[in-house]
Amino acid sequence: MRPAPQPGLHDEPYWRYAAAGELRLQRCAGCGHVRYPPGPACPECLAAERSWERLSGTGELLAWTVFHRPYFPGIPVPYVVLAVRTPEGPILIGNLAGADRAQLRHGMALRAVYEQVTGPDRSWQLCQWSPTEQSTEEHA
Amino acid sequence: MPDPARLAALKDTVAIVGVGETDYADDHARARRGERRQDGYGHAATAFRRALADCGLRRTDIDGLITGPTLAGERLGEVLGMDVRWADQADAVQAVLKAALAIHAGVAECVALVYGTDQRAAGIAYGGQGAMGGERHLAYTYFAPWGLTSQGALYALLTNRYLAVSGLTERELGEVAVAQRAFARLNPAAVLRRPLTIDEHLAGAYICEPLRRTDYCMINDGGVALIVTTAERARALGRPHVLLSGIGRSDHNRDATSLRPRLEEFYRPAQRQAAEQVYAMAGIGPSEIDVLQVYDSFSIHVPLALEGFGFCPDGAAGKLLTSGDLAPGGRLPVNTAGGHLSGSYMQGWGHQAECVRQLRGAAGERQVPGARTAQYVSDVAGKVTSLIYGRAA
Repeated sequence: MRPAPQPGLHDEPYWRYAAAGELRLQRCAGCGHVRYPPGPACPECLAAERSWERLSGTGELLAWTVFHRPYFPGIPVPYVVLAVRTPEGPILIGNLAGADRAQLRHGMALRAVYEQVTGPDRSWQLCQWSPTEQSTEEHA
Repeated sequence: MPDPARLAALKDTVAIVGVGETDYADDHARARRGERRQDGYGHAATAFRRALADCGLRRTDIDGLITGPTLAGERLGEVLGMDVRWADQADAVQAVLKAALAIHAGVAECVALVYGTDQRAAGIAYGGQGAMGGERHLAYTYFAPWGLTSQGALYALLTNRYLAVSGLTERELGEVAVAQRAFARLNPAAVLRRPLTIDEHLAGAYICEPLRRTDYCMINDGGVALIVTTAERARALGRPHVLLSGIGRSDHNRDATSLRPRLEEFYRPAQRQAAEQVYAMAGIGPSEIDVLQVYDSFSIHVPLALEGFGFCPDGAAGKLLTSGDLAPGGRLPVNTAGGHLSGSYMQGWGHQAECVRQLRGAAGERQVPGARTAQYVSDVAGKVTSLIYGRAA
């Protein structure tokens, strides 16, 4: 069982799009800035008007950590958490999917993949990250 | 913009005249035996009693009260039996800052700054879905669906990036925990006093890689109180006191939850701004600091402060950490009571008390000989504040 997302007023569309496997964030209608987390105003120009823009679903690996201490009964350790810089601007968080942590390199190209997870009373889609090109060592 | 002329008018006009702390090591031993002897208000009352006795002021002289973030100011005033003319709530470093501003503005003359916590006995969780601080710092809890919570995990992400960019090694970083344990061994009140070698540190388990158990602060219970007043009143008391010579602050919150300032800047721009202000006001630079206290939830705070505040060039913290300069007997002793890692986790309050002790020459075996200036650096998720204290002539 995964911890449920925080039910923030501005977050609902993010999770609704995620359920359809789409990575969408708020883009300011005034200046075009893509912001994360979702919020009531653009932190660049303060405009309230915005659209939910679909991201490219790509990014590069900025940083990672491996959890060795369990904080959630539904997520067994060790597990990897990634910080991913998207070309649209925001840094997003995800777990490593379809790869081993030994493959991780700063700056490596990643792509968003959606994983069905189950929480206390429902299931939902979680945006995770996977290396864009499979390393050759994996097949060696 | 901060006004240097107005800041100069505040310099050396406000003094810390009294400090009081609880018996961290004894209280911790009791807590580990499962005896809950005290709550946060009880620890606060003990510390306050001791601080009053330390400075020689009477309780009725106190006309201002700043309560730490873990207690309610109204209830603390009731517990301590105090009616005051001015009150506020603040964390350790902001409490000193606010007391100085209040005294300078004339709304109070003698301000008690009081903190108490039963975080360990009460089982406060710093990780998990209800992680402490999440109501202020969204990043502490927002990423729970991916299993990312806790301030430690976020600093582990920062450290992963910082090691890659700066060249700092885990072994060099480990010298922070080793040096602070060496100081704790000289401090009878410190909670963790077993010897710690660099190899023992490196052999320890990771919590969130690359941070190990001994890179993390401990969690214990206790209280700290500080009595702050005017320099004139301090002189009249005729006891050893310290003067506040410099203040610097810069809060960076833009993109905080998206982690840009944490992972791409290591909060350095905020540290630079705070450094510029505190050194300009105090009229001294990092080379003239005799004792350095760094808010250390995690070991990585120390190299960030060393580089951010100009104690060494960017990327040179590793060399400084392995030089022995920061350890007992070194040129720039850091966290001389053991800090949060080995001394006591009083969320920065104990660091202020230690600055006062060192400048009074009353730090016992861990005393830095002839210490005249002490600097405190606090950077909690981009909220950077620094204070410089000087020994009253």
